[in-house]
Amino acid sequence: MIQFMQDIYDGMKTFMVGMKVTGGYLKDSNLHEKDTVTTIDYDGSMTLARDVVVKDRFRGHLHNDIERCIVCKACAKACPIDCFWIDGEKTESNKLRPSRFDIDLLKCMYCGLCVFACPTGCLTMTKEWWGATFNESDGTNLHGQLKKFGVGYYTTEKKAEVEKKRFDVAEAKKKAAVAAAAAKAVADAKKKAEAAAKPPTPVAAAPVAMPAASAAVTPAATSATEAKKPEV
Amino acid sequence: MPTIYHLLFPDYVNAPIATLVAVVVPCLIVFLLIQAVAGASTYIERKVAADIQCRVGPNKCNIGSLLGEFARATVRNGKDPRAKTGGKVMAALLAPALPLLDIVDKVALKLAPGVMIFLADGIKLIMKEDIIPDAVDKPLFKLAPTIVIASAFAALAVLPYSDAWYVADFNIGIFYIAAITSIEVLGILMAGWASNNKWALLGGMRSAAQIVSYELPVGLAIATGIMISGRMSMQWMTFDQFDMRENASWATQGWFWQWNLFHPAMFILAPVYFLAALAECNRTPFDIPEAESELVSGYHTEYSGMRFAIFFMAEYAMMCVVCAIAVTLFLGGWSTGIAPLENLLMVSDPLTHQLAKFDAHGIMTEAPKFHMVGTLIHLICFCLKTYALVFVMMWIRWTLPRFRVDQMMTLCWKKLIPLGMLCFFLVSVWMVARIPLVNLVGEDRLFMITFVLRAGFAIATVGWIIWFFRKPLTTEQQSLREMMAKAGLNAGAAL
Repeated sequence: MIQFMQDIYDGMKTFMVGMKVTGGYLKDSNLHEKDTVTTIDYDGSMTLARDVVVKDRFRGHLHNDIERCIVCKACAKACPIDCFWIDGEKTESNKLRPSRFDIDLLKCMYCGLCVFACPTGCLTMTKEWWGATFNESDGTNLHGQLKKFGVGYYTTEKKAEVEKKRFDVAEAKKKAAVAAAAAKAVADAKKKAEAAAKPPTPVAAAPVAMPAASAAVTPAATSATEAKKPEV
Repeated sequence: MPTIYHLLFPDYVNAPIATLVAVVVPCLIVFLLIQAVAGASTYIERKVAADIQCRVGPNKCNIGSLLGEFARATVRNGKDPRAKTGGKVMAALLAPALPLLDIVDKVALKLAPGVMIFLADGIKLIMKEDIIPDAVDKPLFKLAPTIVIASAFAALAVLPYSDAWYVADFNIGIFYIAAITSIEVLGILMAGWASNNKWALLGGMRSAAQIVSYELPVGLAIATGIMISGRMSMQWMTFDQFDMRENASWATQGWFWQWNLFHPAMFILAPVYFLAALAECNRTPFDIPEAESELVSGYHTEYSGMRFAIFFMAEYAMMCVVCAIAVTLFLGGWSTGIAPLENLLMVSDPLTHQLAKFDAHGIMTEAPKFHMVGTLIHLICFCLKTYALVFVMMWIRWTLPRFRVDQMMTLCWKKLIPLGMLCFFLVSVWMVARIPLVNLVGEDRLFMITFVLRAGFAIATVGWIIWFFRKPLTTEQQSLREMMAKAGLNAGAAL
């Protein structure tokens, strides 16, 4: 019975004290609003929104510095919801360039895993948090930034041109390789002849010649295999 | 008693039609009003929450800005050369009002920023698609919100809004309310079951367990109130909290300490009733049927659009009903609580200061008479008292965290029900013991003794409450508050 009364007393007392604490806030908020309100009143204006300084680890919008993209697709692999769509093309200098780099922002949850995965620092997250937009073509907003993503496919003519250039380069390399091989064969024949002429062979000659030969052959071989590959 | 029926219709009006209209009109008024109140309550609740949590709260959708937008758009369209004559006239009429509207906007922003948000919410919910999932039990799913809101609104019929203006006054008023509000649990259970969703079903079951359990303390409080007043009529319960003796004087008629709250048993029962009522409305800290962190949204998980809004509205209507009952049972209904004022507001017999005449069996032979200003003030008084209690409910919501299921049951069965039983028993004993006491000291002297004791008790209670809320917090509580403030500031600085 005493315990029963004690419980009720404790319950009522803590309840009243709790009500008093929250009531104090209620009173203060109404009497001295500026001192108590700790959140920033967001008046809906763009300027205020841009002035707000966010913390270092804040993840805002995705930003893509497309020049640094190497089409490794590490971001697409890291993405838990598969919102990336990346295509690559070969450039004239035989490097991959991102012809398409789309992020489906309706799927994106801004987890930032792609940013961690990116080896070149091309994908980053800005401090920008304004997502609303009045106009799709407005370059300052998210949609505008999205349009900057990717460098676009080559046109058919440009593609043919690039292909031709790359083909020419590959041909030139092939020719060079063939020439190198021929030169090497000539050199080998020379060496053999020399070796035949001088039976006590100087061992140092062969190791010097071998790397030179391989260096001449390998790039041509790789470029030839790559050239055969279909476009991604 | 001149009800709205008598005000609207003299005797010569066709009786059946007049009766129908006199029933339908107040019903419609109350029905529409309570919807507005339920809507406004969501705004007030959000503001209270914001104030307690040191936030800004809704401040975007203002009366002024809404009207202003409309006016500015009209004026702009009127300047268009393609505008029709009507549009041009409207624009010409509204153009001088624009500066005025700006002032209105500023004032509204100061007084009640964002007050139109509940209208915007309501419009949004009406426009939303009414999604009925394939796997639900469709008839029950559609019926459930109707039952919930019907029970909440049906209870509004017998509330004593003021001395002369009310919808109906049953002789079993409070019993009717207790019965009709119990139907709400049927709708909630129906919603939970028909949704074919485990969260919804769990929420419905929890709600059923909770509401059925908490009907008992509520029932005990109401029964004790009925015992004290002697009748179940809500109007009578209010009148009983005046001095209704034959030789009542203006000095003893209608002081606030004659409210049932300051009856010793009812003083204990008031918090019991209020807590149980909180649980019956599924309000925090008893919101386990719709616990967001455990069950997605409880029994209305699968509901969307206007069906969801109906559940929401029923919750707020239920809060108002429950608080109105509390006001009638404990806080003297529509009485202002100041005897001289009450005597001004009500037409009592100038010789005997009696409101009504009774025969030897205590049956009213002559009804009290009222005048309109008094009735209006009583109406305002009733609404203010009710809304003050609703405000306390909101305040509690942002003070106490949610109970566990077992804690909720412990509170009901081990604390509230024993207390209620105790008070019920005490009042029963008092009713029996009163008879020899009256014979011993005489009715008038006994009344005066209780009157003085009650006055002292009431003034002491009110004084204690004022003192409690005005005294500074202890250092422990202060440090807690500072800690919370710091946490709040940090959260604010993070942005």
